[in-house]
Amino acid sequence: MYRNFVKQLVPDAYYANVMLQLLRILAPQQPAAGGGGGPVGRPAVVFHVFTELPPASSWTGRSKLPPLPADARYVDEFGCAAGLDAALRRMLNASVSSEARLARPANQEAGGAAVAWEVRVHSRVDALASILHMASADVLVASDSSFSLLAAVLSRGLVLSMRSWKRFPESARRGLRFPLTTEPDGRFDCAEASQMWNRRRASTRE
Amino acid sequence: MDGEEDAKYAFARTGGWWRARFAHAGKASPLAHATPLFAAGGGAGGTGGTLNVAVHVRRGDMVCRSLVEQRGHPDPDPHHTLTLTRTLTLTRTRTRCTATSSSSSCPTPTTPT
Repeated sequence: MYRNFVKQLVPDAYYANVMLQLLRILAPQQPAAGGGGGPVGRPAVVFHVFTELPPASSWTGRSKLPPLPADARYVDEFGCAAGLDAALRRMLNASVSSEARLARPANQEAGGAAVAWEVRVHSRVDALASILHMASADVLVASDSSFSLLAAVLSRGLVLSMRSWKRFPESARRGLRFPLTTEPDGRFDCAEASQMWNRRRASTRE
Repeated sequence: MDGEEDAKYAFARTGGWWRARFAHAGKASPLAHATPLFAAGGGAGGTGGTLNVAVHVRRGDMVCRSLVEQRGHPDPDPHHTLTLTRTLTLTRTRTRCTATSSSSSCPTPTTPT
């Protein structure tokens, strides 16, 4: 039972990897940052992270974790204040600005494509509003939770879930519109994802 | 996965029906289906040229249960033992982890570099 908790506490690296892969796929679909076709100053891809902070006190009245900094809005799998945007930025090897220069995958041409992205953490959002947003998003990176599954079922966008997660059995995946399976390290089939993304775009135009 | 466990998530198979109802409800009462977090500073639902990617990260009291209860596990495997030991050492001395030390057990830095 306890080991299950650890398995479910997916490391930040997984999410950062998934976000990186998504940027690579979604970047060509969006106008370049500051370029023509899109409003300047607006990010082309926004990652909305829905999470919650550990409770400040337990039933004993004492906190189970050291107090977090007042401005903490996100904790990693160890309960330490962290930032997914920092992890993603580091992976992109980009500057502090939110405009990142994406490295092309090795099998594509050299060079890079600029895309503006942003990470917004929502840690104190009403549960129903969270489900609404998650279900309405273009892409949902789900966690191993019934909460995620509910949003995934309602979602008309791409739904990414990790292989062998308990709450996303094969039978559940069959009911999703555009389900994608990710590896435990966050990688997924980019060709399949692009194909699915195009199908999704075609279906939304109808 | 056994049949009983599988049945627990069988509702997902009826996803098409639920999505249709969801879309219908959204048309009937758009205000109730508003997504203000997507609209703020960007496009709404992808219509304003912005792609919205929702990431659900399960944390909260899962972190507490994991840290506190696994610490007393009779036979933790070496990875968990090492991780927990490092984390506890770290959290005893700092309230905020940094990635400056190579021995840090936190995989991500706390502040943008």
